[in-house]
Amino acid sequence: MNKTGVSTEEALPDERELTQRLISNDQQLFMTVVKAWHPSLYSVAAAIVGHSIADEVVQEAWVSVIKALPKFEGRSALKTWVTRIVANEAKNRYRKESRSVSLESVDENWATDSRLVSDPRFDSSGHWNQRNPAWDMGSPDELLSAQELQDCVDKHLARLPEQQRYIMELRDAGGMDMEEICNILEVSSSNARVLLHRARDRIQQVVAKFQRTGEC
Amino acid sequence: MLSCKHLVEQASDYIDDEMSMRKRVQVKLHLFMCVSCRRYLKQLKLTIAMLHCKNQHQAPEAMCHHLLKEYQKNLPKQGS
Repeated sequence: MNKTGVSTEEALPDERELTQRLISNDQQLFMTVVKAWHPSLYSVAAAIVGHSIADEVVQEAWVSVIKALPKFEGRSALKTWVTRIVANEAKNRYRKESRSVSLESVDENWATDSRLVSDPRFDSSGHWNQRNPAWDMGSPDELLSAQELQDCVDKHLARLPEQQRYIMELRDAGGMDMEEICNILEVSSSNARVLLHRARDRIQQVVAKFQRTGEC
Repeated sequence: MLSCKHLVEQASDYIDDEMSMRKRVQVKLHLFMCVSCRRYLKQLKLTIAMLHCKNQHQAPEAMCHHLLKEYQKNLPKQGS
């Protein structure tokens, strides 16, 4: 545990010892793992089913993990295995909740339109119209402590097309690798990369505007 | 030569190390000469770091309690 009482992944033993001790009923270690991995597992669940039931999905997935743990063969890292179980649980819930857009019907064309062709930041030869100004806030902590900015970022995150937001949450908040994300969302790697960049670029522009004008 | 617009479009591939060596050299050359693109790249990295730190959702106590009970029930101490 760190000073704030939050478990961190750095405090965990190596892969082999971790698996062995979890199978051998190390309750303290189990709780440390649940807390340390929760932020990224939550991001995976939230990206698929939304924030309102993400905790519930992670909890259900952990119950499956506990039952299957003695049979874990170590073909992948334990965290990768647990993440996959969370993603499957989330996808099952997503289907049960019968949302309007199914995961299988991702519109691959989203990634191939030419939105950036008329990007107002650049002139016809592709150079910046105006010099890109440096930001006053130069660290994640500074950005996170500016509440107005965070409200603004939240507003724009909610407005992103669903697939862009999913991919960015899985990748940048959840720390998942792209191959895993493509498997979960059933999108091609090239489209996933385009969608990821669009989402990041959009949020960069939101922060840039706020730094420049103080407005959302 | 790579334009600023093209560099911006490929910035995530550069940051995530998902581009060929040839393209990487082109980007580096461009960055060497272009302060606006250097800033953009730095800002994009900062945005990603912010998003990573932003969503550090902690496990609810009730969930931890429930899971500990499940764990105790399903994985008895070895030898018991």
